[in-house]
Amino acid sequence: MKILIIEDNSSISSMLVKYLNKKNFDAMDTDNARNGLELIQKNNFDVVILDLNMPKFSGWDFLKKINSDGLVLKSKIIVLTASVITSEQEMELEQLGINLLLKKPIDPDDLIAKIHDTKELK
Amino acid sequence: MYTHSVNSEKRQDNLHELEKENVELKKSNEILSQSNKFLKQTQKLLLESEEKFRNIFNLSPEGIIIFDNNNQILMHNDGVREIFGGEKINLKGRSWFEFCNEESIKVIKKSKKELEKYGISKNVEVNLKIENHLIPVKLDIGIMTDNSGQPFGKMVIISKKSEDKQIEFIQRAYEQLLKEKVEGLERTDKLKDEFISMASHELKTPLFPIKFQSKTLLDETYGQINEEQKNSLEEIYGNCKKMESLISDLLDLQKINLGRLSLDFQEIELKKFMTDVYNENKIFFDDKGIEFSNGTSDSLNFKSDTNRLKQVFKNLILNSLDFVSNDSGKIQISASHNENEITFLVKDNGIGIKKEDIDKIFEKFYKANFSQNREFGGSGLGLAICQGIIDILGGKIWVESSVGIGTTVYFQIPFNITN
Repeated sequence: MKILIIEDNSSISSMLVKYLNKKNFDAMDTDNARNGLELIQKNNFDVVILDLNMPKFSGWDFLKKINSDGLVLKSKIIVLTASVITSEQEMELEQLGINLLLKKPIDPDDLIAKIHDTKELK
Repeated sequence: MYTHSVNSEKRQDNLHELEKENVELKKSNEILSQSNKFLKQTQKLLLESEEKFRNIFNLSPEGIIIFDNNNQILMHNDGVREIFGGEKINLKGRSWFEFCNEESIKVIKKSKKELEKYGISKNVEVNLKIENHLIPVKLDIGIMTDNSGQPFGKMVIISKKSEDKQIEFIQRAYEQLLKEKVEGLERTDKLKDEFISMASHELKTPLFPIKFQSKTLLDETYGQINEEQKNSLEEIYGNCKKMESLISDLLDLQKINLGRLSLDFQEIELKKFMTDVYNENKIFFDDKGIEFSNGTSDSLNFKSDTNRLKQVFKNLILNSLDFVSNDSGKIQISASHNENEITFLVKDNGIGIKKEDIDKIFEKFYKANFSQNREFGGSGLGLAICQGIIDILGGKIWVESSVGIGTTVYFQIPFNITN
C-alpha cells in the first residue's frame, strides 16, 4: 500500500515513515500540505495520513481545498491529530470527506490495524 | 404752404419723441415686471423658510422660549406645555421672571458669566414656579443677536429634570457597563478555551513519539531485545500511559473548573450499563488475586452521560485497587434506584480512610497515603474529577469508610425515565 504522511513535526513523520516501511508499506512524507496537494495529484496513494494542526496551510485548509477544487481522490484519508476535536468538528471532518479520525498518541499496531480497516471503507 | 411744412416737421419731431418715450416706458415696464417676479419668488422663499423654522420650533419636544432684553416673552413653542401645563398655552407678553423664584434668579445670574463669554450657558438647573408648584428643570440659555450683532434677547430651551430621566440615564450607563463587561468576559472565555486546546496539543505532541517508539522497540520491530531491554522499555511505555492519563485528567479538571465540560446524553438500560462497566474494568484485575464483582439487580431505562459515568467508575475502581491487598482484596460495583435517583457504588475491603481525611480526599492532588507504588498511576486528580462530573450531572458523591475494614464510595444522579 502506498501511503503519504502529511505532518509538520519531523520527529513524528520520520518515525511513521520508517515504521511503515519496515512493515512493508510504501510510505513517504511531506511537511507541508500544499506540497501534499501536488503529490496526491501526481501519485496514486492508497492512504493519506493527515495532521490537522500545521502552520500556514493546515489540514483543514487541505481538506477544504480538495472539496472546493472538486478533486476526486482515490486515496483514503486518515486524520491523525493531537487536537481536541468537538463533535461539531468531527461532523465537519466527515462532511469534508475523511474516512477515519485517529487521536495522537496511537500505538504502532493499532495504526496498522486502522490503515487496513480503511481498505473496506468508501 | 410753408407753414404747413413747418407744422408737419414739428409733428414729426413730436412723434419721434413719443416713440422714444414709448420704448423707454416699455423697457421700464419690463424691468418692473422682472422685479415683481423676483419679489414674488423671494417672498415665497421667505414664507417657506419661516414655515420650516416654525415647524422645527414647534416640533421640538423641548420647550423653547424667546424673550427680549426686558425679559418679556416674545414667542414660544408648544413644547412648553409639558412644563407649564395646559392645552393651549400663551405666554406671550408675560415676564420670564414671573416663573423664577429668588433661588432660580441667583442660579441664572451665576451662569451670566458663561453666557457672556460663550453666548450660551448649558445645563443650568433651576426650579420654575408654575401655578404654586416648583418644577425642577434644566435650562440651556443662549443670547440672540440681530444682523448687526446686537443682542436683542435670549432663547431658553427648557427640559424637565424629572426622576424618570435620571433613572433612564443611570439605566443606560449600567447597560453600557454591562455590555462592556460581558464582551470582556467573552474574550477571556475564548482565551481560556484556546489555552485548553493549545496545552492539550502541545503536551500530546512529544508524548506520541516517546510512546510509539518505545512500543515499536518492545514489539521487536527493529530487532530482538533482551530481557533487561524489555523491562526498560516497558517502564518507558508504562509511564507514557500514565502521562496520557494525567494530561487527560488535567484537561478534564480544567474544563470542570471553567464550567466547560460538555455532556453527551445517551439512553441506556441500567443492567446493561453496569455489565459494560464491569467488562471494561476487569482487565485491571488480570494476574491479581483480587475479586471483582457486579452486584446490580435493578433494571431501569435511563438517560445520562454514560461515558462520564464510566469515567467516574474507572477512577474509583483504580483508587480501590491501590488500597486492597493483592491476595484477599475484593471490589464490588453495584447500582440501584428509587423513583428519583440512581445510586451507584464502588465498595472495597481495603485499608480504609481515616475519618479526618474523608473530607479532604476530593481535593485536587490529595493522596490519602502518599504511596509511591501506585500501579495504575492516579494523579490525585481522579476524585476531584469525579466530584466535578457528578456535580454537573446534578447529583452527589459521598464516602463511607472504616480504617482496616474498607471503603464504599456512593454516587447518585437524578435521572430522566425513558420508557
